[in-house]
Amino acid sequence: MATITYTSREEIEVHRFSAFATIGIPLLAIFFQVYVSSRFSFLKLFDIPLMVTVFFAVSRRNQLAGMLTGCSIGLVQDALTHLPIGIYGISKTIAGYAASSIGLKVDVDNPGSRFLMMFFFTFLHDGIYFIVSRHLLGIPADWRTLHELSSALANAIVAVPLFALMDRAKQR
Amino acid sequence: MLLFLLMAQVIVLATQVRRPDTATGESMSLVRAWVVQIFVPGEKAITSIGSGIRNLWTNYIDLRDVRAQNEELKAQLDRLRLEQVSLAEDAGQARRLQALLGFKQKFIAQTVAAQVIGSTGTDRSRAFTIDKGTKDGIKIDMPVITPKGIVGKVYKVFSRSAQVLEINDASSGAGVMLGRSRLRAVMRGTSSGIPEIMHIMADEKIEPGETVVSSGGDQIYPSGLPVGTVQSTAPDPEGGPFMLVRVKPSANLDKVDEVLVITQVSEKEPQYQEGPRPVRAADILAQRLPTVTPKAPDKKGAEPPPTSALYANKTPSTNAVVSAGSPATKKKPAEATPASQSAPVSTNNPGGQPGETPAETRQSTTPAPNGTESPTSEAKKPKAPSTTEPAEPKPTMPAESAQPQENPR
Repeated sequence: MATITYTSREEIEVHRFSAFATIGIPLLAIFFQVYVSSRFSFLKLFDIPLMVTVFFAVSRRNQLAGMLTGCSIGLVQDALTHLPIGIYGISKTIAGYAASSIGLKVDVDNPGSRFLMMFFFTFLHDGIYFIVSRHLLGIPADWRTLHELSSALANAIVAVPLFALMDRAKQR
Repeated sequence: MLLFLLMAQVIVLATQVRRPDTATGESMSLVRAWVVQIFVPGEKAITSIGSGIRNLWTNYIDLRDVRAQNEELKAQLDRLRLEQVSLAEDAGQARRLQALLGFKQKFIAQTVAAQVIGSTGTDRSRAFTIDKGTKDGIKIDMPVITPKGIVGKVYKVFSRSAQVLEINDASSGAGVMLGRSRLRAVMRGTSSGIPEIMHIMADEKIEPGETVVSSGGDQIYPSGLPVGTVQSTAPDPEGGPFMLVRVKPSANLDKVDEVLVITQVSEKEPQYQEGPRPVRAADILAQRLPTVTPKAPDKKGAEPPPTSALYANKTPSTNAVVSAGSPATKKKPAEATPASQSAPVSTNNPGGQPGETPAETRQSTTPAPNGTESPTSEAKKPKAPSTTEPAEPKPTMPAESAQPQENPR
């Protein structure tokens, strides 16, 4: 008799989303990020599109889907900045891939794991962004550890209730 | 899967295909143009709804204490008028000195007011989107300012929107001059958002609080615009002979709602021109008191009544005759004041032809505020007392009362 472990694929649910949620939630997240943060600059500390990327990636548990979600969201974000298109794209593609890979192995519905996951992925995303922009493209950028840590912490705190809100869009 | 593959290919294509922009002459990637076209209408709609709600509040609900405020503002206006008189004399003196030095200045000739409708949403790219584009006359590299100071420059223009790069972005820079020490240098943005002035020798005396203005050396920002104040100074972290000067921007770059885009800058040599007649504080006070309409002098050659601004306004024909430069009526009312006596016009007007009377010189060379030649003499026009120095556009910040549409200066 085969033993079913906690992390076996049979036990882990794979969620689907409607087309409306798949397109609407990322667009809404990007819109919120660019519009609201122009009124309240402290919101630039958060990266709502990254939270959406991680959420979709861990919920679908499909690495290709995670990569494409991250890539699409990142490219749209890139287009709204003055920097070359692709920096956010690369960062979020890798974050999406890593998130969907982790989604295969751990319980991603637990608030504690969601907090830790978001903290880690924000830090990873910012690190990749810094490496690509500074070392690949030669754009002047400084690594500010304290700022990145506080950003990661803020994202992790906000991600817990936001993930719970987005859970309602899941289709089993 | 097929859809994903197709989407990926379309994205790759869109990233590489560059659409030429006929308005700016530059090309931009298709994906950037698409994304901006998608997001800008929504941002504009929400901004206009928000403005509507704000207008409703300010126009209909928040009208308490308006009467008291109005009285207070009137009193303030009176005080400011008195202050303006003394400031105008100082400004006139400065212009005379500038004319003596042959100093060329750049004046803001035209601005377009724009509303901020979105940002990049990240600290890594300090830029924002405004609701004016090529259709409103916006072009790349136009300076963007607020009444408090410079904000940045336009770096991307679309038909109905444009993106502005802030001066504190890491890829931004500006030519600046320190207010007290008059040192010229280059200021650049940093990733932390605090601009720094580069290449200033460590032995220079620069203290926190010193003002920083634009020098005009970058060919983008007109000279004399406030940039910020020196926040702190520190030795060069790389151990060089320079010091690091951090600047606190004058404009609040974290919260920019409305901006002015300078669409036209005129360069000209300021010329001292004698106004129709300097207005004294006593004239202002006289205007506010009840007055009696003066009777026409019954004796030929009699002394005119006391020179009040009100009286001058009511007798433009007399002024016109005087300003025409008739040798018989050479004495103008303005010449009777000490301020004008201290500034001989023949010396201070280098543009004038020899032998030309001051009034004639003014007629032929006076530029209008919009930068075009004024066909008539300023002295011919009856002036309100509060517009003592109207002809010269000042090289300072545009007023806060800029109209939402084009604002010719």
